[in-house]
Amino acid sequence: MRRFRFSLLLLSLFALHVFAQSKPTPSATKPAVQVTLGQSIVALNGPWKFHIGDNPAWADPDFDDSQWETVDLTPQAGSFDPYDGSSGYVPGWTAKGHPGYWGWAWYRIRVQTAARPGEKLALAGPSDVDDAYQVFANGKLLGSFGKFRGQGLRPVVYETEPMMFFLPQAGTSGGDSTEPTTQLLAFRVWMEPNTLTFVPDAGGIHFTPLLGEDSMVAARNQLAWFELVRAWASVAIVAALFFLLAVLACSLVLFDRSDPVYLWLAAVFLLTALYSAMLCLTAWTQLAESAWNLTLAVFLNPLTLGGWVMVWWVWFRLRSPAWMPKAIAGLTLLYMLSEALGENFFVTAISHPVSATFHLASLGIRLLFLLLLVLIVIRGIRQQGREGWLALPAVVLMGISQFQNELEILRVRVVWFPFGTQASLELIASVALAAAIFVLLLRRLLLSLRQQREMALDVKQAQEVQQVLIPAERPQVPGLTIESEYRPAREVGGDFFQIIPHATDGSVLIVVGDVTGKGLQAGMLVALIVGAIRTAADTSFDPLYVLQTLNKRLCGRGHAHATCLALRIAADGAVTLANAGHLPPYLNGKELAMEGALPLGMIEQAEFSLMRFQLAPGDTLMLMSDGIAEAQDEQGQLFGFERIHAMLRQPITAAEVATAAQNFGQQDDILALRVERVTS
Amino acid sequence: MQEQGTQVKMAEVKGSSGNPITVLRFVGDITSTSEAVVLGTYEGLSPETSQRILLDFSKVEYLNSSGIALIIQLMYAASKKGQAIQTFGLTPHFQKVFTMVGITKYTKLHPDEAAACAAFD
Repeated sequence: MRRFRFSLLLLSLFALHVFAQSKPTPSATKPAVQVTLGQSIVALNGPWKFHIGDNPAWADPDFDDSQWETVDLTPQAGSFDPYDGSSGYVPGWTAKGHPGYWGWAWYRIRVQTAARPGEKLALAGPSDVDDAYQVFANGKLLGSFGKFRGQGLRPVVYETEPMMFFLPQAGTSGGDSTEPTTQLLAFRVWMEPNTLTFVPDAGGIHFTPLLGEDSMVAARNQLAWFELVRAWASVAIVAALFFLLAVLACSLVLFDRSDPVYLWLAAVFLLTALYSAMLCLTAWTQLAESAWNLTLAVFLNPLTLGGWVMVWWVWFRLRSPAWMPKAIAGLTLLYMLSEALGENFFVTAISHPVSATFHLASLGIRLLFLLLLVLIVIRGIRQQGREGWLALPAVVLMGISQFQNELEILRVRVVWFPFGTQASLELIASVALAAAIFVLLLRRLLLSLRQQREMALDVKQAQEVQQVLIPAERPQVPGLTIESEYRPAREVGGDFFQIIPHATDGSVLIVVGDVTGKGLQAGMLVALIVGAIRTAADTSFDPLYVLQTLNKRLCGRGHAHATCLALRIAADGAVTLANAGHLPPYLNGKELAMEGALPLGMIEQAEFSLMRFQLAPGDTLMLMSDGIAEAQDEQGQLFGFERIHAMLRQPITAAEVATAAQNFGQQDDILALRVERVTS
Repeated sequence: MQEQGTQVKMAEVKGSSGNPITVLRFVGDITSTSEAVVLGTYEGLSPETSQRILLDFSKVEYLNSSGIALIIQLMYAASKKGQAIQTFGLTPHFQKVFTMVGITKYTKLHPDEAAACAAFD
């Protein structure tokens, strides 16, 4: 048995004020830089005695371990932890003669220590262990990492965190002895079976335990915590970034419910944020055991990958094959299943060859996903060109990152540590995807703004066309005073009127109407109707003929319906009035009693109501659209016919009628047209 | 005003003579967006089993010109299939509007359900 000699190593250099504690020597009388050899810490590189299996007697200092294997935990120069980048990584037992082994194993070492008077010794637990351990000193349990639940039960394991254990006082009970004493330190280690699938060179202790004075070990422990926090800080930032992106995508859903891509984006961003947050939680705390990570990975990774495939499918607006979304859902479920079985979730129920088969299946499904992603993006490139090219690098990177564990096992470097923080291939791929999506969303926003500007221009032009069609200035008709007020609810209105004086007989044709609907579509219908009125008037001023002509034009045009009122006022005041479902005119404040009739465009054989009456000098006619009666206040109360009756009992202008309805609460286009017969 | 979606609840009641009456109870606003609900529900009725149709507008908040056009289309289709339609539940405002647009050529407007059902006999 080789003895390990514990020695004082750490040198503290003081620039100006130092106290020498060494005994004076002749040379010390001469001026010299004074140093203090004091607090120290040493790595227990070994040699350690090692044995797989488990036996409580192996904690006993008198147990003869001479037949055990000897292992050296001295790290190779330049070695580092593949997960958090810490230097000094040591391969585990699977790389030292026990490939494929999982379960219990013991490490033992004898050390001779000598603490200075008044000082205590402590042990810093290994900063990376697969997966849980107990530590004994001379057969006495000092502590553990992981939750040990008794003989025969598997411990609950966590991601390794810095631990510190106080050694029993060496030497005499007074603790002032500097006499060296020998202690047997033993580590009882447990490794989960699924650790084999994602940790290269898995098995037991990966960092040498440190022994030293308690204050020094505590300082080293604190430093190890800082390093741990720094290593996972990038993942925490990514979690926060993706959470914000999820919020952004959700708000885009509110802006544009017609495009499902924002919903898919919100889902994948949220899943990525959740997974990253969980990684940090398990790395920094013992609130969540390692198995949670694995469980989450089994469900979240397939959902995220399937979600991304759907994002690009929807983003590029691909439609065929129609079964693709179902195929993606099916593949996602298969991926989950193969991960659950391949990661050895059911250790006691499934044999290793079976779980290895499922792991291979998982590999195949991920390859299929990668292929699908590339195919979708290639089709996107064919359809949309630039957008597809922008997405391609990020998508390919994400596809490759799905094989991060396999690449790690094959010793391909997939994790880097700039400034001591972790940057895995998975992390880089996620950020690259987020960046690509950000650029694409920005591009889409700019295109949308351009389209909106073009649409606004179209509406403006339609408004100008309508202004040409709807007369702003009334033509002069001998014997009549005509005033009109038209207030569209939107830029382009759906109400219309035409005043066409006859060229020779002194009569005038007045047509007032309201098409169903509002906005540009209604405005275009108005243009069609006004054209038809003008054409019909070239042939005849008969109001019934005009309505029948308009009806023929509108029938069979889908939603092209309109109520319409046409009247011809002869030079002597004789009025012929035809109505197609429009509000009858008010003669001297009283509504004319007319039989109801269908609006234009409903059926070809529609019969319109007709009446004749005489307009005497001083008589007034008020023609209105339904936008007046159906104006609504904030409580939803209608302006209604009663208010119209009340208003028209007194002399009132068309503008006053329109203003009253508008102030009440305009919902639709408002049109009021007043005709008064005057003596010519 | 915030537009409310349209719902059509279908029910069957017996008239005083024991004949079945199909009731379409409209709820919410009837506008251009109600086409699938209004005409879709009507087209789902079998002309053989739904010879008498009662339209209930008592839960309708608002009808605009596009909504009225839909009701006219429904009425016209029913008249072509020989189905009888009675209507109730309209406010005085919309009774006037329905009369104005000639709907009363296809249906009578009643003050309540009992009067409307009785009109089938």
